[in-house]
Amino acid sequence: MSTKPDLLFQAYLDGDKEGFAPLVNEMTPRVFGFFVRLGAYPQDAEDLCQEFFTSLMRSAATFEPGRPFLPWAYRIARNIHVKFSSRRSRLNVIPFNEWAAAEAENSCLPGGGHSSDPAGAIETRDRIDGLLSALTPEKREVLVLRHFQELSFQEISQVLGIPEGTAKSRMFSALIDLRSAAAKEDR
Amino acid sequence: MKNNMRTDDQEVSNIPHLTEEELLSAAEGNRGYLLSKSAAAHLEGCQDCNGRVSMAIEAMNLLASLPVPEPAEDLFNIIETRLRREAHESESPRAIAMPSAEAEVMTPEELASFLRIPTDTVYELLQDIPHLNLAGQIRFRRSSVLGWLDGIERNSGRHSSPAPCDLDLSPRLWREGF
Repeated sequence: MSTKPDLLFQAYLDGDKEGFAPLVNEMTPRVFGFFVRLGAYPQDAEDLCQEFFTSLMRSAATFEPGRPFLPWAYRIARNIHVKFSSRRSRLNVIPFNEWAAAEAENSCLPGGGHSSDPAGAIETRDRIDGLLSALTPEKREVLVLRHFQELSFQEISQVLGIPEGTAKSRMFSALIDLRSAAAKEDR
Repeated sequence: MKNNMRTDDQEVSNIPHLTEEELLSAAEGNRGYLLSKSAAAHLEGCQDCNGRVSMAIEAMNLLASLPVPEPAEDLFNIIETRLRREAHESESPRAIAMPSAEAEVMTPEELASFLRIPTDTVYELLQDIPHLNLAGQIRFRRSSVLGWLDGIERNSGRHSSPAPCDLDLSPRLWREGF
């Protein structure tokens, strides 16, 4: 079965190499959402989106025609995020929110932190992370791929290279963990 | 009430509790997943399994209440511009590869041709090579890369016989016309 992204990617492969605009329009919101839900700040997620598309373009030659596009694309996105996380922990980078808070404190602008976040993108990210940070990275990626990116468990097993049954039980225990964490918070 | 519970437990006791996979199918039921007859029968009578399914459904409701992250409008343009430029560069790699090794600041592709390694390898080594991240664009300063190369070269000689550096370099200097 061909989904819309499948068709757009095929059109890109068939057509001239600049025909990626429809694919960018289709995939950018998806991968941006993917990165933010895994915990990236909007600014970093935008950088990762750029990295995703250049990597996608470079790997296009290795794509086997007829294979489903989305699991392949999410595998690339997921690898980029894994590298990003390890780079981040290795370099001991100041988390963006701490930097932004310090920046806002030093700033003379009225409204403080909101001046740098007009669309509320950081607030959105923080609300999502407030809930999902209760999960281990392994459970979190399964939950994000399933619930938000709406992949099938067969696709998730291809993205992560784990058996379908493992993906399903990770998903279930992620939901239980979330509910338990939320209940603790309410108390 | 207590008696009722006991009867329920007795009815389901000979059927094992549902696996996590089955519990998930039950929780995701509204997405078209179906349980086997025996699993459905167990679920009907088992408070334990029912409670876990309810927890999972409540968690899904929490997830549904979260806002959707939206990329900034200009991200689409930034990505398209970058892809267009890369597509263009990859069509004429020779044209950019030649002057690039002379440049003070190099792109990943230029560094790859400078080091005579595949561009993918540059990205793999990115954590180790000193580089600049300019709003998502990776660049390498020639001087920093040379310093980094010197470090690798020194380390590679650490366990073999230590040879003075200038002696090592002289043949290359000769060849380059010194």
